[in-house]
Amino acid sequence: MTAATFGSVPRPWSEEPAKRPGRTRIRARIGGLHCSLCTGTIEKALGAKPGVDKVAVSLTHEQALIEYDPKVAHPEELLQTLRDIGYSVSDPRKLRPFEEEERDLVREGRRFLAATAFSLIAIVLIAHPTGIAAFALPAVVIASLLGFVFLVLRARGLATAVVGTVVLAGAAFALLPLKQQPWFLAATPWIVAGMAAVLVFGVANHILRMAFQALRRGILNQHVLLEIGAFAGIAGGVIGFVLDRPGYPTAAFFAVSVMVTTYHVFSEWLSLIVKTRSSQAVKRLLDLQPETARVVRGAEELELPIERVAIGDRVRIRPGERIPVDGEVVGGHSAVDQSLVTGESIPVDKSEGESVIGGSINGMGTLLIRVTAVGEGSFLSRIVREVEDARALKPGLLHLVDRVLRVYTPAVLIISALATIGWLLGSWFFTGTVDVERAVFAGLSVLVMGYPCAVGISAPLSIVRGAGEAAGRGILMRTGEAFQGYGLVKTIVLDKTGTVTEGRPAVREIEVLEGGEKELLAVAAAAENSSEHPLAQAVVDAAFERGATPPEVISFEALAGKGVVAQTPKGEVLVGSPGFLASRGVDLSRLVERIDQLEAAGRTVIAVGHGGRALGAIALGDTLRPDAAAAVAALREAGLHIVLLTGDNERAARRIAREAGIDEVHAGVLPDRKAEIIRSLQKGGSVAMVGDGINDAPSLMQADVGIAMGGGTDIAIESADIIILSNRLEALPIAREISRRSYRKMLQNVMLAFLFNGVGIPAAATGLVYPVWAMAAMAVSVTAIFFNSLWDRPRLFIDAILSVGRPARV
Amino acid sequence: MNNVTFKVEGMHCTGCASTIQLLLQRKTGVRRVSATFEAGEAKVLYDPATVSEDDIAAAIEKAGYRVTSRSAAS
Repeated sequence: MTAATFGSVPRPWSEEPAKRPGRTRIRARIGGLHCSLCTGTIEKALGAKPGVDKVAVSLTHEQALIEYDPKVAHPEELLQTLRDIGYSVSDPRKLRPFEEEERDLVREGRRFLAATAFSLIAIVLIAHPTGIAAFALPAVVIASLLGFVFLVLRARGLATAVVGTVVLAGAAFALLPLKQQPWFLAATPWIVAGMAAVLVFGVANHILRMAFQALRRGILNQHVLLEIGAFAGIAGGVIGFVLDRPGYPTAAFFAVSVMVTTYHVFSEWLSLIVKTRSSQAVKRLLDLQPETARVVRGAEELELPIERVAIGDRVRIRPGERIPVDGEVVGGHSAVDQSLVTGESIPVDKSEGESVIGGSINGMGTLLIRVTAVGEGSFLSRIVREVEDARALKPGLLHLVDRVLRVYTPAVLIISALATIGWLLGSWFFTGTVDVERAVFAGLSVLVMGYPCAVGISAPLSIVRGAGEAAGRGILMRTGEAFQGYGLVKTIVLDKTGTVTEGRPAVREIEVLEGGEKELLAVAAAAENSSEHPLAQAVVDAAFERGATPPEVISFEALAGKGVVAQTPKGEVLVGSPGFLASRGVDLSRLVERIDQLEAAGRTVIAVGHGGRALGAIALGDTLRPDAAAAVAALREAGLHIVLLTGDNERAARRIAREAGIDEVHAGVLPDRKAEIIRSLQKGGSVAMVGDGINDAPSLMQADVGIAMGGGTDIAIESADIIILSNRLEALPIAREISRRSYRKMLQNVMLAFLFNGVGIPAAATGLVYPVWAMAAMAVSVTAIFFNSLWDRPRLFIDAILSVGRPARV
Repeated sequence: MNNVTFKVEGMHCTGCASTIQLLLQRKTGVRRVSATFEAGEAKVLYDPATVSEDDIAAAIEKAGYRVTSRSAAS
């Protein structure tokens, strides 16, 4: 095999430079992470391999980062270990297309439909409607199952939904007269047994596989717990066949298997909907167009993908474009907005010989730059690496349900064993003969009772609720961290430029020597009107707002980095930096002190002269967002410690902090230091970070909860857990309130889910409870959770189900 | 540069104000526009060499509103 063909073999991982010399780092996308317990298992399994230094697994991003010594370990071998313990591995750079995700959803929906039909028939078969209570329960369950069938089919059209539901309901009722036939009654256990077998081993085969994989890795998660319950039901039924005794609930045992599996398939489907929708919503915000650069070669201008640009290439950048690469200006001049890259709020003039950073936005001039860094060496890829680092170092969050299951599952197994042993010993002790039948019955009943059906839907339902509420307020809550973590955060770190401030300059103070403020602005605006420099535009804005009418201009000349010279019928007007005016012979001595003062306060000052005389000075600065002070006050009210973090200079940062009411300030922070500051703040409790720039991305990832502004850069949005689509700071306390509320709901739901089983298990341990009661407990707890989560907003749930096959829009 | 305030009749809500704002911003020669429903007026900064006061008034009227008076700012 030649080197060329070898290089074309797709490798399911991507390589990255490691932090330490002599180490290699790889990143792979992992499939089959079913719960937050998996991350720990992978870290343990890989960490035990010789040569592996560091393993970090992110459940939210389904990725693993492995750092190892290439002399000792090999990537193929490491990833094989992952496959051996039952995970799939794929290249992290490949995004799953929408269609594929929708297909998965539709497939899961079909499984649920099949399972529901089985459950319906099973209930009708085993129900003996004698008395009100015995009639009401199956009636309610059947009605709710039919409702689900209708909802699932509704996405495919009203006619399909009506016909499907009616046919299924008809089939169920047709069974009722049949139940009067003795031959049918005798066949009932066999019919239900057949359905249980088809459902557990056929329709829900994927869950069986996942449970098996989890068990092999020593994880006791929801799938394992389900299969324990389902198999206990089947075992109970099989024993019934062997004993062949009248009155033994053979059919009921099989029916319980059918029911628990149905509820589990349902909760899996619901979780998948929740997960798919949130990741699709994020993808929609991203500009997935590959980036290109306009490379000048000889007389030609070629549009090339970024990867094909080499050091030394000349790249043309047009007005308003994003600068795609790091480079040095070799032609033209322009004011470059670096706020997303460095946090500097005032655009910087760039002319020949000065360097520009990839990711900043070009102003109104055209630039020709010589590329100085590409690929791994460039600023952007350094940031991407830092995001990965932060992802690996981010404190993990064990999900609530998994935390409970870690204790609950072993407890169920132990109680089941105790019930069995208790009956064996007890019956022998009291009667002299060992009642094996009763003992096995008790043990199996505990296992059947032990599966908390409703637990699977408790988290997704509270997320459906919370995400729906958040969406209504212009907030996209994306990850488990958003719901579980944000309410617990102690410190909130705010980026300055573009987050707390508008991120563009505005006129803040005016110093007048002659005439009025309005006249000064009018004269300045007349001269600046033709200039597209952001500072000039801010002056024109201010003049317009105050109703000042700029005088007529005959001719106009802009001097890059200095200012403008305009000829008016009343003489020459000079507007620009104080140094520029002084060099043109304008006497600024009366203004010097005030200018120094304003500059010391972090403002950018331009002076205005008319006919060789100084008229005054205009101070410009970044302005606070109108809702910043109120949002900060609300966050403080909620008991949060607030920190301002910026790459901009200390003076500008202090001033903004004072205006917004923030005490702690970290200014002049380089992009690569931001995540480090978050890490040190995390020693004092969990931290949320709010930002929008490229330079914020690593710290958004590092923070326990990252919050990006919807208008922010792609990399910031991708790194965040919560995205504020409305771009308003007031959403911060609102999102926190929603997060707290959803977490409370989740807690209530989980408690409700376990409560019924908590009552049911001791009852089952006595061996006196029939499995029918396990079904009753299921029905009641699932209904209770539905009511608790959605009783006033059922639309949220219905919309989520109906959206299958039709991807949600942001 | 001229800075003129047009008194506008017939705006029903802030939506009408933003319609006028968008409409005028599209005209060449118009530099800044601020239309407010509360005040019932549209402030316009424009270049008289490219666009006239009458052109702007006509644009507002064409959209179904009435310009009742104009006043130039000093």
